[in-house]
Amino acid sequence: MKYLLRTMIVLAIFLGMGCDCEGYWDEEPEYKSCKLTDFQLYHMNNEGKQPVEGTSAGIKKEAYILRIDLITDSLIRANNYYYYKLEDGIIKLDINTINTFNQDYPAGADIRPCFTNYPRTVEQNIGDYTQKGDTIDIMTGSKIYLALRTIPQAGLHSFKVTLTLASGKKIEKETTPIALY
Amino acid sequence: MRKIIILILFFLPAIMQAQTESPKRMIIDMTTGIKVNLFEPKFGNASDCLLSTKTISPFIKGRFSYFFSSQWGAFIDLKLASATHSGKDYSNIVPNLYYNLGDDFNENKSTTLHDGSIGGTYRIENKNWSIRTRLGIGIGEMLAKNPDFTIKEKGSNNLYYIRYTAGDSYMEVDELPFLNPGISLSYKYNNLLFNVDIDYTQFIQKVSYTYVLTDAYTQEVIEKRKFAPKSLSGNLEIGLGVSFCY
Repeated sequence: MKYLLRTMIVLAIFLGMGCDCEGYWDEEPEYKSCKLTDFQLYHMNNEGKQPVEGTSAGIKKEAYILRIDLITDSLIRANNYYYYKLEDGIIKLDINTINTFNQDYPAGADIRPCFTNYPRTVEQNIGDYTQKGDTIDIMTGSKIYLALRTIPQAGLHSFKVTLTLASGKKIEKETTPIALY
Repeated sequence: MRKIIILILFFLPAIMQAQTESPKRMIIDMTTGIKVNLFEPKFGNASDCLLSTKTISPFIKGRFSYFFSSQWGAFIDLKLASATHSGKDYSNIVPNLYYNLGDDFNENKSTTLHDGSIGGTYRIENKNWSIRTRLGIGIGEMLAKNPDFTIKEKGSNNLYYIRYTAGDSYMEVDELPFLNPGISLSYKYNNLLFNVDIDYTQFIQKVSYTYVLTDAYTQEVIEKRKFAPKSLSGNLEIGLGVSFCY
């Protein structure tokens, strides 16, 4: 009985050593294909603990976040079991100012360098990887939060956002004017 | 207060002189009891808050003493003590101008701390009673937290990471030297002693903390500095035990 028990323990150890979990982790996740149909722009007020949608009263210029909601032909929710992948990924995200931003950025200037990915997990956020030369295609979220890191002059501001897709197609949209004080 | 405790512990046997009868050379003590943390965190001092543990915790220890003469001997002491972090004041670590967006500060995490000491001991005994005093030096572990925080400036997009590390390492315990005077009051029954054991542990070094403030957007280190608590740590241990004499 004693030897049987020992043999079983040794066998169990060998079987355990034989198990290999590597293959499991190397597996490519299963993606669902989707298409970008539109996007929407929101002014976010980040004066508090979390960013909230701005009101007509305006937003403190040090606490402004531009939120870009990507709209696809599939319903993408937070914590989706499947990842969605854009058939035609976004390769470039441009932001131009409609009004004079400050003395360094006149009306029409490219102000994308003034924005940075907000480095904090908020609902359904997804980073803008195009700045590093990557493509936004795997939709781990659907909302891009871009925090304004260069202080604009006080006044009314609106921005034009242009998304360039891998196919060369461009989608443009302008924000409503917002008072930054 | 601490000086008075040390003086009482060390000179009590001299006050209670008694007759000695066939003293044993070796004694093994097993003691269990409570450890009272005398370290009082100062409000607003980050390292004090990070080092504060619950006031009372249990301990168990073993001690081997060898007597060269009827009165003088040496001992080696090993102790295991439980410690639970009390993080109730940690909000002081984040300045009022900032929101704490998240941290890994587990307030009620418990761990077992080890320490060991060696030293000299002096005893006085009569037929039924024995008093042993001792003074040791050793290395003891202290529970230290190495938390990190994500903080956001109120009214702006500025985000920062704060990281505190005790003694330049990510270990949750730091080892420090200490002095420990102590006394055992014992009732003798054949080769057994039934003891009341009182020990005082005075750490003679402070835990050094490193504070690193990093910009969450650029990962650039904005500030890095070292600091230490305002006072040294100390514990009072009161225990009951049994000893075997040879």
